[in-house]
Amino acid sequence: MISAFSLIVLGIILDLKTPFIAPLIYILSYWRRDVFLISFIFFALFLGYEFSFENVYLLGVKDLSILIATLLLLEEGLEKRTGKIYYFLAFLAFFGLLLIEAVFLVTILTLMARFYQDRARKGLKALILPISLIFLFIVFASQIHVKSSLAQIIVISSVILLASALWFRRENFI
Amino acid sequence: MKSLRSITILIFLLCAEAYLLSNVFPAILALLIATYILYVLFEFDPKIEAKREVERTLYEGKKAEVKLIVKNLTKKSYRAKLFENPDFGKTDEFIIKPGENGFSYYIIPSKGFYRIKGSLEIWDLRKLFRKKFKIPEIEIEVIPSVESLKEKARIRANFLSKSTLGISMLDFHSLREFQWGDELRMIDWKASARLGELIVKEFLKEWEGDIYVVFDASREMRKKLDFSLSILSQLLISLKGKRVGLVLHDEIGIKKIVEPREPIYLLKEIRISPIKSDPSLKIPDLRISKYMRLFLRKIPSLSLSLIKMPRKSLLIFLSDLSNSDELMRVFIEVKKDCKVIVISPNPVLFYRGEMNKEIILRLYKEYLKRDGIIKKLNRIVPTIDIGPNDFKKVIL
Repeated sequence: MISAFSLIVLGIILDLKTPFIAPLIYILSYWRRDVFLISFIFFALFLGYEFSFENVYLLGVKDLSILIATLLLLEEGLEKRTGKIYYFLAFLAFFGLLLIEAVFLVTILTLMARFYQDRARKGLKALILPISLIFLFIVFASQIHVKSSLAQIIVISSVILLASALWFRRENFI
Repeated sequence: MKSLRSITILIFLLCAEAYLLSNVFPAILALLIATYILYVLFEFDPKIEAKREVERTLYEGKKAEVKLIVKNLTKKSYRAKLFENPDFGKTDEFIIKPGENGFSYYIIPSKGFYRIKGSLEIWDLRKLFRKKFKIPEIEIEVIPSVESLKEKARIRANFLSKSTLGISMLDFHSLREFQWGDELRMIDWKASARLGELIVKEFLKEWEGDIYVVFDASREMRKKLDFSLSILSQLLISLKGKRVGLVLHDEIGIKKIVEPREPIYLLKEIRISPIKSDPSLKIPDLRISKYMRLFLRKIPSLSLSLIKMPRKSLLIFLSDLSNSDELMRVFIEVKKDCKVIVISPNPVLFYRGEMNKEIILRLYKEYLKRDGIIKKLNRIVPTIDIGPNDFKKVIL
């Protein structure tokens, strides 16, 4: 719900069309899970086509907001949670129309609230691992002037492949 | 599992899109989603202990409650689904909270002995990862319910009465607990073994119309007159309250017909003298020639008289079947309109003469011959073969 409101606000601010279908995708998650996942796949691909940035070093608040809001849409579709805090944060999301940082704050706080309810322990280590790798790369790459977007994409994809090997092995995909 | 595959496909599609469009946004989105999956994976570490509580003995077709006790040794909640072998029906998915959780579900089992194996499939709340936990086996015994036994006994009794006895004279009524005074032959041993207590069958006896006792006063029967009269008197006592008539006949034809009245008055109508000699083992081949018939035409024949009996009457023949051929013809004729049952003292069992190897062999052969006649007659009318020790309990 919060993700749907945040994406609408971001769509208005950034003049994008794809975020406006977020509420429909969120409603589909109440109906059938497989339909929700398929629609989310298309949503993510369309958003990737419509919204772009070419350099990791140029990541700003609006880019992070849209990234986290999209992730939050997936999280809210997979597991429904209720609580007064979520209604309050959903209300706060509309303040993003005035200040885009509000959207970023709302989405981050929502994710943190959900991780807190999960009583996250080992999972936080998982969060740290890929982000640390990317951070190290950014620092290292800036020293050797690797600023090409393709190179960045390849590095990021490699990290994803390494990370995915962990759940591939567990679920016996290979 | 399906959700995880879909998300994995999305991640790689985003990477491909990022590469093709030279757009870093999809790649970073893919990285974030992959990180999220890793987070859920690392957080999913369930520790579950489960056991079932159910009564060891259940009844067939009756709903039985099974209690599943699940101990969640972590501080997280999980989704769970129970799988059992044999499968007694679907159970819904439920949430396991930290600590001890109790869930009840109902099964309707079929009869038999079961060793139930089970497992609990645990999912994280987002249903991305799962783990299976085994539940200890339990043994249950499902015994037939009284209702199902009654139904089976009813089907069995009616089948037997229709196929073997020819007509449904005795309809199965119910099963009940054994009471002092009940006949031992009425005990349903199968039902008793299953329920752990003595169970007897109760039958309905239906009589439509009048009852006639067709008493054979032929020479052979007069040799067993004391026994025959005992059987007759016990029959009449059992028929107290009903209207019973008497037809007295011998080898030639009808001697006397007594109209239906109170049974107690019928015994004095039988004025025949006994013959003091051992019953003959041979079934006499008594044929009355047509010339003899002319001479005896004033004496009404058995079949002609019985044909005139009121429809729907019950005819109880008390005869040792010494003139079985003629009796068979009579049975076939009267069976069309009346119900017939035959009680036949077996002459072999009444033999009281000298016993030696030759006689025993002869007795055995005659017994087998008679057994064949009884089986033949049973296809036409219900026939009960009795001996000197069989009284009311066998007949009734």
